Amino acid sequence: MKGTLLIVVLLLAGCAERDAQIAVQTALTVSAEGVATAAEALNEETPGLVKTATVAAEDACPDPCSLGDFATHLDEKLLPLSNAVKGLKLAKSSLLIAQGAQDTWVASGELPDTAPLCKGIAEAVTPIPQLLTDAGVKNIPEQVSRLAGPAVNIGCDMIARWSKGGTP
Amino acid sequence: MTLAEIILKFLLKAFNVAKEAYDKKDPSKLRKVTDVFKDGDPFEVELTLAEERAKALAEHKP
Repeated sequence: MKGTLLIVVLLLAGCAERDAQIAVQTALTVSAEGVATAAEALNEETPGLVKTATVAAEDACPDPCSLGDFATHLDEKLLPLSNAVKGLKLAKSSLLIAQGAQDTWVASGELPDTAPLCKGIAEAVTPIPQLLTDAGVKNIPEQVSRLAGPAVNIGCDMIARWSKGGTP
Repeated sequence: MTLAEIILKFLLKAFNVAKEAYDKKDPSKLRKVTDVFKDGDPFEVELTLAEERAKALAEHKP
């Protein structure tokens, strides 16, 4: 009888940990989908944004405009776009690293030290809507806008509470 | 039915409910970040940006 009771308690405790793992996985996947959607939105508008930057670079370039001068001016005008691409790459790599930590937690039951990782993800994912706005993207999907909201931190909060022995 | 049997029956029922709930929650079966991104593949936007930049430079007339 005691054995059955113990198993029931262990299963219920396991359920609580699995709930936390499911919440973290959901937060990671939603963030990844937001980043992927942001990349698609940016990709769609990139040809138009480069054309605008080209016109601006030609206007800013002294006449006659050498190729070197033009390239310098063009790169300057394309800087917000390049920053958005860099931001997306950083967010992608942060999320992939976090997925590795999550896989370890699910497979072994041992929660890796994720506090620095969570900070990295939040720092990488949160600025994306602003980076897209700065790049001149007009149609930012709602899914991307949500990346800057508190939803990004839900997974990290869940991990922090769980790792401190609290009930998530 | 003795009290011990009633308690045992209740615990077995609780065990089955808890096990069912545990089995239903499997985080490893959820969609992962690696399913969203193909690891190692660059974002298409990176290539688009490089292509459009190269095109603008090629079309430039001093």
